[in-house]
Amino acid sequence: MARKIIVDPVTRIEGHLRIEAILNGNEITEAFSSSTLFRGIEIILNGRAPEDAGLFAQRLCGVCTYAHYEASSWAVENALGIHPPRNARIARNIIKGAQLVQDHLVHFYQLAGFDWVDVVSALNADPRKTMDLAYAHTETPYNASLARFEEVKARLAAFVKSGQLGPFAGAYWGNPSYKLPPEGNLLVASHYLDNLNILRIPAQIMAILGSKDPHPQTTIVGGISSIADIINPQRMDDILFRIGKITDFVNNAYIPDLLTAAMFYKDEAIEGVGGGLKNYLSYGAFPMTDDQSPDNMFLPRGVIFNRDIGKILNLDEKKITEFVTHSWYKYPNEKVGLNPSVGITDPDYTGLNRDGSLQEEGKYSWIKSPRYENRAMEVGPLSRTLIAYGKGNKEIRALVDYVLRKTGLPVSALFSTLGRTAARGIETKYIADALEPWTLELIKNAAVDQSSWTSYEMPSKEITGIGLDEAPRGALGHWVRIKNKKITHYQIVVPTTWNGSPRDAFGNPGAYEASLVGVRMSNPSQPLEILRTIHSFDPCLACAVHIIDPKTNEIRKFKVS
Amino acid sequence: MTGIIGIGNLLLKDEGLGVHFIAGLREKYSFGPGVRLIDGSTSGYGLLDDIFGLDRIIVVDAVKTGEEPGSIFKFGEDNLPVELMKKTAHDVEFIDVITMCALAGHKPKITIFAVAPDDCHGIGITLSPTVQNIIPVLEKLVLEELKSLSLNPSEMPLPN
Repeated sequence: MARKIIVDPVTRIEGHLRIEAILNGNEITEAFSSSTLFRGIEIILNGRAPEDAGLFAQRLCGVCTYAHYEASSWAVENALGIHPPRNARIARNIIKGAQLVQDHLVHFYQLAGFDWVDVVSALNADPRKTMDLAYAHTETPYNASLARFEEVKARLAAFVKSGQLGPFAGAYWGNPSYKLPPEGNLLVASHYLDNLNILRIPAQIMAILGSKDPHPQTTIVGGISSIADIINPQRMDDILFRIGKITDFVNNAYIPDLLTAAMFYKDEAIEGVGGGLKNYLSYGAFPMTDDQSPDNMFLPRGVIFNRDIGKILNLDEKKITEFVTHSWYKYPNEKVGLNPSVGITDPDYTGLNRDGSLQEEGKYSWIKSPRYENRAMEVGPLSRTLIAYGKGNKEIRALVDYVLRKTGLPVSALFSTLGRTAARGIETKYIADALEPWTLELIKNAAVDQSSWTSYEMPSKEITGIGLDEAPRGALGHWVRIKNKKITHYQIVVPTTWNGSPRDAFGNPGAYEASLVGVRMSNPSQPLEILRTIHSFDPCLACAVHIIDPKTNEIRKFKVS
Repeated sequence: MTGIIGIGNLLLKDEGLGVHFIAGLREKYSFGPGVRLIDGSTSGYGLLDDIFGLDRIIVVDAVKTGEEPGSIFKFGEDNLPVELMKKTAHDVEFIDVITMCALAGHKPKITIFAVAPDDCHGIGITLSPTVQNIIPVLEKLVLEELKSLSLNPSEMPLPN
């Protein structure tokens, strides 16, 4: 008998997402993803100077701060036909790399942590057995001691007891889908706390090269303005010192925790739970050559169809189109998708069903449906890892093979919620390990070359540019048209648009929707498995104003004016 | 160290109140070494480093309450609007981040000034007249808060 489960709002993500799942027994047969990710915020850029595009665009999101700033700068630089000089290229990579590492660390622990970790079970853990587990995957476990584990237990107990649960609220302790033993739960929970101190560090690195965080502002069209910091040995040493602390945590806490999780959640990985779509896309990021060629990016560009990792296809931007067939927008012809360079954002809200559920046959989301060659694509760490693996990237291959060997899992296990989560960790280590060599290269280059900006003349004629970059969550594209030195058209397609999209004109579901098909729930009134699957994509949707439920009149007693 | 943190999305009109407020303070006042002004934007965990370095924070944010636009509400660490803010559209709550800090052993004193917005559905980098008009009131409240801590800013000299 089919029934419908609605999860609204999906908690522990950025923004507002609603998932409707159709169940047959305890297994999901169909799913619908709906969100208030309102496209159109780009209109703020029309009429503005292209030199300021990044400063405005970055305000779209303070979480993946810098991602929009860089993509915007690339789009304008692309329109002008210029590249930043080497110092700027490397400095930008360092800022971006630090941000990616921070973002992924927040995700694994603070956002996805409770999908895998049962905090109440951790309260029953034996600190000695936890020590043993800490040594299972590293010889130098992070902040591991009997005293520490006792302390973590005490802290967690106090929090659970206080009732002021905050991020612990609304969790499903005791659900049979939790598979870690108490010691595994305590170990990961202790790193959850350690991470709160670690997270400060990438922010500091970004502030050194970017002058502040959130929203570093030293990247400018043509280069970077923080050259004074780049040639200052003290500042660069500050960065190197901090990188060491980050890699210590990644190598001795994060990766071991992933391996621990993989051991105990093995079965669902083998079964491919949460795999979803079979197509993957990455624009590539972190240019390694001064021409910023997509052929030489640290995270490579590419396309995979049908999970054929042996055949990585070249990306053709013209094959990207957005559909609005099931989205709350109007097109002249909704059977046809539009490339973002000619994108139209014409809102057309057609409402919900009378019972408040989504109109699955009609329009049901504010997210458009980007497609590549009319296929639904997944973007994000899994896509990037698979493409890098398929292209023969030595470090990625070594990391993936290491994880598979240690866990005894086959390559096919990557196509799952767990695989997606592991790919995020693999990518974090890959980037974190690169930060030091990049910083040393920057120091060396800046000793003999202090150029930081490529000069240009903004022409009056019409020019167009595209910035195809990778944010932590996946493919990020900025399309700009400039005329008479002002922006006349701007479109942004963010990773969550790809992954969270509703069906297109052909009925193809988006990544979230596809990933839930086949997921079995231990207890349909506790959507733990839905959260676990959706969280593995690290959704990030529109920031909207905070809301206090007006039905409670409690608010009035706090009024001061 | 006391921090005044303005949070919000600058591109969504009144939702950006906190950001506008901090910019305004910067222009009008010079604060001594005991006070930091922080444009928190829509960053959640990105503010952890700032918060860990502060023993007191004053937060300014637009919060929809169903009450009259321009109303100002004040909360302290003993009555943080955790329960009231259950139905938020933006899940990486500042409140969550504060809870995280407490879990990690850092408990700054907190004052939150929440302002009911008028317009935060439109796209724009300006505030609605209703909210713009209460900025002086909000400023006064924040400065009074600082005064009670013996932190008095000096007014910036007006440009010639």
